Amino acid sequence: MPSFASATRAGTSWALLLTLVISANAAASEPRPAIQVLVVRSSRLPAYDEALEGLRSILTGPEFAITDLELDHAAGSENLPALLARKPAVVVAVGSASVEAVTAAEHSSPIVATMVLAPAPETSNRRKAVATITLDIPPAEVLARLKRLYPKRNRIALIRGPALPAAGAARLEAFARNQGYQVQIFDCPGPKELLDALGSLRERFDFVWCLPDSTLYQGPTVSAVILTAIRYRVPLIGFSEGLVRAGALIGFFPDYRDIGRQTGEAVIRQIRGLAPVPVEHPRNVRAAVNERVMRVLGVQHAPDGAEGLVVVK
Amino acid sequence: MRQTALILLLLLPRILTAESDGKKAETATPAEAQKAAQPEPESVLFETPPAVETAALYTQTLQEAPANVTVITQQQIRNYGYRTLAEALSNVRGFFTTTDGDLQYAGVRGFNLPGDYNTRILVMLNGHFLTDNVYGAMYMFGQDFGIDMDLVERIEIVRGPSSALYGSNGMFATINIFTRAPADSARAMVSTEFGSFGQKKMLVSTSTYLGRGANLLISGSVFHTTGRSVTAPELGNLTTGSVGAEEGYHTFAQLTWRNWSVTANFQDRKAIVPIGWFGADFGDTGTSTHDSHNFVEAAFTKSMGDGAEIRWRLSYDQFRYYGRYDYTADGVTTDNRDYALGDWIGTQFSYRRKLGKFGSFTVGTQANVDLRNVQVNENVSPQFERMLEVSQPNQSLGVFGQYEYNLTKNLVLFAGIRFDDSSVYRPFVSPKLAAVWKASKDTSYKFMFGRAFRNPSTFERYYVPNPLLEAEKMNTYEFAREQRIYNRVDLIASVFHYRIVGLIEGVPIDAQTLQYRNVSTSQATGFEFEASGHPARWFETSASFSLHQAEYTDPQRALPNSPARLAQFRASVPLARNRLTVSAATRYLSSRLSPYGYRVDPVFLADATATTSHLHRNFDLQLGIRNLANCRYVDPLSTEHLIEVMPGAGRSVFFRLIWHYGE
Repeated sequence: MPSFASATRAGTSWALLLTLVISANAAASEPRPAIQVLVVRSSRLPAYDEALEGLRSILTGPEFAITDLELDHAAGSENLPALLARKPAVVVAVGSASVEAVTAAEHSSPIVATMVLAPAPETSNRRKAVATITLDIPPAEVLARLKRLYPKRNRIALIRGPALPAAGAARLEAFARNQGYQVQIFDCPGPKELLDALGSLRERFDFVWCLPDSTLYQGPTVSAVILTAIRYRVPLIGFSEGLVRAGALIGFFPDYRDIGRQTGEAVIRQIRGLAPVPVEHPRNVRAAVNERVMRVLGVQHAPDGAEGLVVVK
Repeated sequence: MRQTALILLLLLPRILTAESDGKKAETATPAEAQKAAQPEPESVLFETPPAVETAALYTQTLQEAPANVTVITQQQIRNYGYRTLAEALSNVRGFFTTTDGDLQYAGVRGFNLPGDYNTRILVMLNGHFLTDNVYGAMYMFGQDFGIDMDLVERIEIVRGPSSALYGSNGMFATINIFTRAPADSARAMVSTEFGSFGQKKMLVSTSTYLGRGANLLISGSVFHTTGRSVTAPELGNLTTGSVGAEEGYHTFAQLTWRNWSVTANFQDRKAIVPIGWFGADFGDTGTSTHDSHNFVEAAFTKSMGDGAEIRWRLSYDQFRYYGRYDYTADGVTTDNRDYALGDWIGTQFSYRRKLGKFGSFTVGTQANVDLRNVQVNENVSPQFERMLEVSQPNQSLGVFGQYEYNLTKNLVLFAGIRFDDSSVYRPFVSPKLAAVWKASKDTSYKFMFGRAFRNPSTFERYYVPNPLLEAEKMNTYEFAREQRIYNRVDLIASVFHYRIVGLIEGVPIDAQTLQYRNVSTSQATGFEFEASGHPARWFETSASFSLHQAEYTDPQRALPNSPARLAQFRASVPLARNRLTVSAATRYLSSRLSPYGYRVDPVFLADATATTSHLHRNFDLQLGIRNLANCRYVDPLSTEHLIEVMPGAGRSVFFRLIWHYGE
């Protein structure tokens, strides 16, 4: 027969256990505050919308509260300090203008930068993003796909605009040579020089590779560059679906929705205290080919490697 | 008039842009302006530049010309339901079209003489001249124009003289029609059209890739119209049907391969002309005209890589006209036949070279050799009698040069000269000078001077012979200001003055016969203003107003068929998530003088068109109403016809069903 003491101990234990269970249940039933994620984007672009859709597909459920701020929108910039003062768990900056705005502002929230061409340069008065998901497509990806699509074409002229540092271009050239390509870099400080350069490239190269550079391919100059390239029968490798639709032969560009998902995963790693990857490149690269230009230039791609290739008119 | 036009020119764009400039100045800080000038680096990835038309590879665009240019896009052709070149031109600033019941005529800058076969407007198809060698005319603006509008990618209209580049006939305007390149065309398209006055048309078009960069487009269409009724008060209210009755076909084929383009265009049209043309019996449906203009052309264009470009073209053209006219006198009907046969070979070569900071130059030569140039007029019954048989083949040669010099970063000077000579006509030198000053990113000023000429056609010189007939000469001065506001709307105001010496005009020598003579000197001063563009991204519109004072100078009197005021407005709005586009166009012509000396009433016409866009994956519909208000109007006719004016068509409707694949 159990003694009074042991009965008391057992009773106390049961009481404690019961209290713990009740407390735990009570705690569980109490709503946990949602994790605040502030998304700051430069403007309302369809590509940003796609990226945000991808982000929301990862940061799903009631535990995440996403606030979407558009800097271009009326009073968007004025609202930024107030929203940062609420100390969101993570600030996602979409586009370089919003990265600039968010890194320059005074706040303590970690920043995840996304949809930018290159990580923002570190300066003393700016904070650094804990993770950056860039739009830069690894050259290896482009060259490998190109090799599968056009195995017999290996002469590439690489257009280097002011935005691409010389060292970066040299690395790219060396890498392409390793992949079996003959590459030559052409420095073009502006659209006029680019138009002149295209004339000298005709019949010497199988492709002219255009890397994203807003100083070279902006506004009406894009049409002039494309028309000149076709006139000289120079197939262009572009960097966006828009450029391919306009008249580049082929283009490689990120899947913006997947970049949004990558961004969401970086946010989750940050929230869980895991170190995010500092710089991530797009893991899903899309390719498009212009059928009209293909027909005019008579450049056919091999069926191998054409899976997932978007054909535009 | 001139002073008023000049003041309007200088002030109007200023007034219209004052508000926008003011707003810019108030709202844009220097920092914001700098930020706006520096787009985000990644923005280049998200841009959607317009698709480049590969047609531009084979044809030289006129858009870079130092002139007053209007472009009608393929989208506009589609949205406004332009079925003929005349319909497209009737909504272009300063242009107006008229009809004599058989042919359509285009007037511009207050000039559209009745009896003139559009001899002062140069029309080109992909750079190929459509002027025939007998009448020196391009009178095909209706279904007789050999290209279906479904195939047209763009129409470029350059106002002012172009003789310095193209020689004879380029006096008032140059129109270049670009067809869609085979690579840009739908793989297959079938279009059927039904409309008022028994109008029926069917078009079949296909484009295919032949491999190794070769692309082929083939298109063919047939059309038939039963026509309408017209009552002639001047003939005691006689009424006739079948006015505008026509049938025929168009075929077009283009093969492009690397730097080569080979084009073949064959067209044929037969029309019933029961309106007493040239005094024939009114109401006689046996009176008819039968025209065809066919050509085959090979063109070569090569960009050399050092800023140089060569263009060469060689063509063979064939023109045929057969007219049957029935004349009844004293109970006897005479069957008169009138025909013209033209065959000629043409070639053109041009070399253009950029000289860096020294600008660029173009030199070239053009030659035409008539293989046949025959006109015949004969009665075949009740007894055969040949009244006219003329064979006057001509050979012509032109040499031209043009220099474009960037005097400063914002000031470009153009100088051009062309020398023309021929076996029949005297040599002529046509100079052109122009200066374009780009005052700012959105504002430019243009000053243009050009001297143009037109040799008499063999018809004008030999049909009713006039050995004294010479070329007419024209000097044109024009000043224009172009302004873009809000980056969406283009404003243009221009003032012009032209003077034609030795104007060739038909002079009645009997009731139904005209002899062409250098009758007079004519001049005009005018002002044009237009606002066009997309005030909102989804809204395309244009409004224009033109003032002309066109007159003969000795003695001073108004030109016939010349409206002093012309106003045009058009707008196009997409609805139902861009699945439907509703478009409307209106135009007003003030009263015009008839050759008989009285004025015809002003004209107000309105058209409406609804077009679906991808209603179904492969099908689209179009519904159009012409002369929506059923306005009654007339066009003045020349004096060789039995009736003095041609009543215009009343309200009409058309319906199109389009099937397209692979677009």
